Amino acid sequence: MPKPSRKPRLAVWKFASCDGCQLTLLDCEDELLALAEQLDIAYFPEASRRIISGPYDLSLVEGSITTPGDAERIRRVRCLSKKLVTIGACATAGGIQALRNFADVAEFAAYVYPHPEYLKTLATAVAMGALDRPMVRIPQRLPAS
Amino acid sequence: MATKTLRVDYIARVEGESSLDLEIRNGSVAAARLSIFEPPRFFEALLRGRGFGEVLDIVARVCGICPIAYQMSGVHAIEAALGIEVEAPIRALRRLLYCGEWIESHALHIVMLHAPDFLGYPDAIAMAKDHQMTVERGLALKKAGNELLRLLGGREIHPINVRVGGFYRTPSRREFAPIVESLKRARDLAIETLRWVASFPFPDVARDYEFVALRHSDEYPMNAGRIVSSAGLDIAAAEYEAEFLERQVPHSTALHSVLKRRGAYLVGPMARYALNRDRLPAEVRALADEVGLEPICRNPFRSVLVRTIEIVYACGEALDLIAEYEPPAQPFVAAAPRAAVGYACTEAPRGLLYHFYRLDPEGTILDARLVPPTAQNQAVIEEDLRAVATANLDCDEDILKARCEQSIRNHDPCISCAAHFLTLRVRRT
Repeated sequence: MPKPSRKPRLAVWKFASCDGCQLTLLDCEDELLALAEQLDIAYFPEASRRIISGPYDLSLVEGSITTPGDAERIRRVRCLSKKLVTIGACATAGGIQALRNFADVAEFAAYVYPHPEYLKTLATAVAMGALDRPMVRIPQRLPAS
Repeated sequence: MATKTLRVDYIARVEGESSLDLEIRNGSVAAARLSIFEPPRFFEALLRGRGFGEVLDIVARVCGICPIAYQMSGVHAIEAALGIEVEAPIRALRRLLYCGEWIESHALHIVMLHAPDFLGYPDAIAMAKDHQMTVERGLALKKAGNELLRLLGGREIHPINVRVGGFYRTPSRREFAPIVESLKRARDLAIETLRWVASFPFPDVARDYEFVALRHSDEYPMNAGRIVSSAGLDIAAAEYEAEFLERQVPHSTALHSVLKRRGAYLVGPMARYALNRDRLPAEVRALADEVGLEPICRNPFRSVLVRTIEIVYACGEALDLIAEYEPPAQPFVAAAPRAAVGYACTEAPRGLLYHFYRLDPEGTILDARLVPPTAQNQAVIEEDLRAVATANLDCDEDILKARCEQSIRNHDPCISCAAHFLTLRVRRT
């Protein structure tokens, strides 16, 4: 007897983000339960305590890379995943937090935190595929005509 | 010395990234630590230099689950700074929008995130195998809330229709017809959910919180009211920073909000309900009585009942607001910039959300301060953890861990919101 084929194994990962893109998955209100039947949701901590270790057939990644730890973690996620798909503006383009790319992050940190030296943060917020590429600087505002 | 350390590396079914450390020494809880490792995004810093008209699009992105809360505290603070008063229909539409967010956010938490704890499932999808109808009911409720957000906000995540002075576009009466039907159904579903939730096994716990919430002269609070507490606080939003302090814990990056005079306090549904039950319609109060929800609930595990009562209320309130709605003459009033400061507090689904802005004469943001509910509840969440760990010390480790996680989820923490302002690592000895 042939073994029944295994359901595809899905993982959902969060990086620097507002959680909204993960929420869009749970916003599949009419389809969620039917969809969940077709998949093995192996790692999705926003929705479940159950964790099945990788490898995963598909990883969905939310958020951008803003800390040294996350710069390592995204590489581990890549290694664990047959396919990795970015969801949303942060993972795809850097997101709102990429405004720091045009500013002095040390000054940002000192403005928000009394002890910024405790933070581990990168000077940039970058999209998932952009880690190893040089930063492209886009003018924040169009020059006055 | 017998020291035992328990660790939960990633707390599931909350929004954001956090971990829990418990240190048990000689049979008592030596440390209970909730670490938040959510990366900081520096919203307050990056708001500076932006025009006041950009603020609502920026602050919505603090949170994908409660963007309306950020837009509401933001818009009211900026309108306060610019001396703008909006017309009654605009005010009603904003309240209606908040009803939508309360419904979707509470439904998500009650059914998808919190209920599995009480019934012993890892998640709502596994729970649906045995409780399909109840999960579908919860998803339908969530959908009804999101429908309101789509109609009034343009979309459910990071809505795009609120602006300083009003809305970009206001709906006609006719556009509400389909939503009225789904809200009526949602109200029935919410009442069924309430009866289901009331059947959960609740641990017998009573905590001595100081409750803090808005209070309005005749409404259950959302966008307006004074900040009051169960210990007699009664202030305007502009006085927030005189009474509350973001305190740093030594050797940590933590900012805990505390009341300067008294310390830890609780915001959120339990606080709103305890301080404003008399502002609920009689039929909602009767439902609370029917399911045995006490007028002042001090058991954090029963917060799920209060959230469900608030959904019942929000569905009814939304229907009343729609019934009385007359479109305004114009969707917004013009906003002229001026050098000023503005403060506002509104009631996010998770509780009081404080915003402060300072504007220059052109309306550019010079300073911004946002204090989200989860930052304010941090101290209470840790006190709860210590209490729940102490009460369950003899349990098997897995049960103890699960009970501690549940105790964190009792307050529906939104760590994505909170971590823009704090990274928490607390050691208690």
